[in-house]
Amino acid sequence: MTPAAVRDALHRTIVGQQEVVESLVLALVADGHVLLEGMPGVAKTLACRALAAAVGGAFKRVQFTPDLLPSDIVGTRIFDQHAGEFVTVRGPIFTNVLLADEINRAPAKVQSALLEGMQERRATIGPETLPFPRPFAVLATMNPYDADGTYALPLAQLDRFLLNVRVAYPSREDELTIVDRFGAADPQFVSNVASLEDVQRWQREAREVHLDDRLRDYAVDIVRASRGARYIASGASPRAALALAILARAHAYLDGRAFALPDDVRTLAPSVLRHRVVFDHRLGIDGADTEEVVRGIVASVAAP
Amino acid sequence: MARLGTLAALIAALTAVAVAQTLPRLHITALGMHADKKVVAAGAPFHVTIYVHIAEQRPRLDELVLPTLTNAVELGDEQRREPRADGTDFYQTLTLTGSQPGEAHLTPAYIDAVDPATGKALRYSSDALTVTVTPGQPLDAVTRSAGAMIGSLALIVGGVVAIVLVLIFLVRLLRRPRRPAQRTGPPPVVIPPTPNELPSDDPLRDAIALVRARGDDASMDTLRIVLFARAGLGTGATLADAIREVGDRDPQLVRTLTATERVRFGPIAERPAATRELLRLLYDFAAGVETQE
Repeated sequence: MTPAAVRDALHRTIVGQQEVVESLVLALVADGHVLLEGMPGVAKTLACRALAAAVGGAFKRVQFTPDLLPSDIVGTRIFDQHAGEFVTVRGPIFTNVLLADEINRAPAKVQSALLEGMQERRATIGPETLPFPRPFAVLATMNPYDADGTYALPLAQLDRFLLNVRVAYPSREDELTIVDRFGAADPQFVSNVASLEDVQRWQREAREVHLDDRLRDYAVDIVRASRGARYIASGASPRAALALAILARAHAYLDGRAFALPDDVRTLAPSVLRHRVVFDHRLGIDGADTEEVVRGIVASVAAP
Repeated sequence: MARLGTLAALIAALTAVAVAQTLPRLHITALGMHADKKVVAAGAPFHVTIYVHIAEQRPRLDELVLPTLTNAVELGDEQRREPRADGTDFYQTLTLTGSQPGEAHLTPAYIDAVDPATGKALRYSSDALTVTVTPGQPLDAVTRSAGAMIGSLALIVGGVVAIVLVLIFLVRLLRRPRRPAQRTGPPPVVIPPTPNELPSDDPLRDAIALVRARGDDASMDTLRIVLFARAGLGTGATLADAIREVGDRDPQLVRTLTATERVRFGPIAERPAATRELLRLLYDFAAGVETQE
């Protein structure tokens, strides 16, 4: 089975949203986490559910709210009266695909509880450190336009997301199809077109894709160009260059190549950078567009 | 008079057909020649390797015509064969020595064969080669002081080596491929190798020659610059840019650029096969023909 089967399965459920589908499959193969930003109702959650169903993985959804506690995500220890001892109750993070819906509505304490999981792929509950099932991916959604009652995600956490995908409104044709398809029935997910073992094999094979030294240099140069660029208060960290290299390999793998090309790096650079840079006050004064700024940074470095 | 002209043309055509029928059908995808040294002392041996890749499985390649030497003497030659999944690699190694200080010249090695794809007789040739021959190194003071014993020993070893080389030369002489002077029969219908179809001042011609001769990263970068320029793009352009720019207008250029990117950014282990494929596409591109997929 190939990743193309997962892509096809997602397209059979989700109308349009080509970039979202591509990004989810890409992140799955690259073994990374995705931050989806967009207005409500643009199929962010649906896409995540469809992905989990397609690979036959366990799926958990956590609606982030201001009163959420870390133990609501990670788990806790409770006293079992029958056994007369404390037992560990695993939280929803112990899954293959975790949908962190509206991640910016929970306070920093909860967001940071995700950090260890996203980076280390394990969680510590009391004295125990427990590994997550593999593959493991956090797919977080965020509405950037509704800032009331939200907590800005710390940079350290944003850095853990391999990709940031902007989910746009569907086209008119797609919207008509959505009304026709989902107006009378619930969404039908295409299940088990690939197995979790398949996913882990794709991840292994993608890591073996050849990345030429000049592409590595290109990725590093793009990330370095983000530091000190116009409208940028704080540039991307070295983790961005690492993410770019990983994603370039995965992108080449999905394209059926055993080697990455400059296009792989250049195409993915905006998705890697846009959530890792901090824009300064001049951006608002000049009315500049964040996406244009990020694309300008990428374009400022000549491809090898 | 007109009838005579027609008759002559008919005879020429029939001769060409007859010659083409005598030539082997070979799908030659690479033919290169390089020396292990650019500068050698007169009398010192050096090696020239001629590399040929054919798509067919062949036990020998007797059709390879070795270069003519100027100011160099051949001490021996050897043909090595390596069967591959995609054909056969042949390595013809010549052991030579420069005669006089100056320059030793080797004319291009070539093969006359019928291209199975087109049925045309073609001459596939390598680049010519020039090696600088310097005067033999005189004995310096240190060497002199080493004494007569070392000199005698060197003389004995040299004598043994010379005898062995002469023996190898005599054995190989019976098995060596043809020389131009030894070729019999009418000359083949010659179509120059594809790069020659380009004007001499065309940078693509030089870039192809560079890839054929060296095939390293620098030569690939030169070729990429030339091909991207053909697509109307400058430094920093990518394959996606080229596809956007000329995708529908010039699919052969896109195919050639794709193969170029595969060689430049692909794994080193796959480079020989990728380079052979690239050269095939480059020949077609230079000749203005569509590559058969």
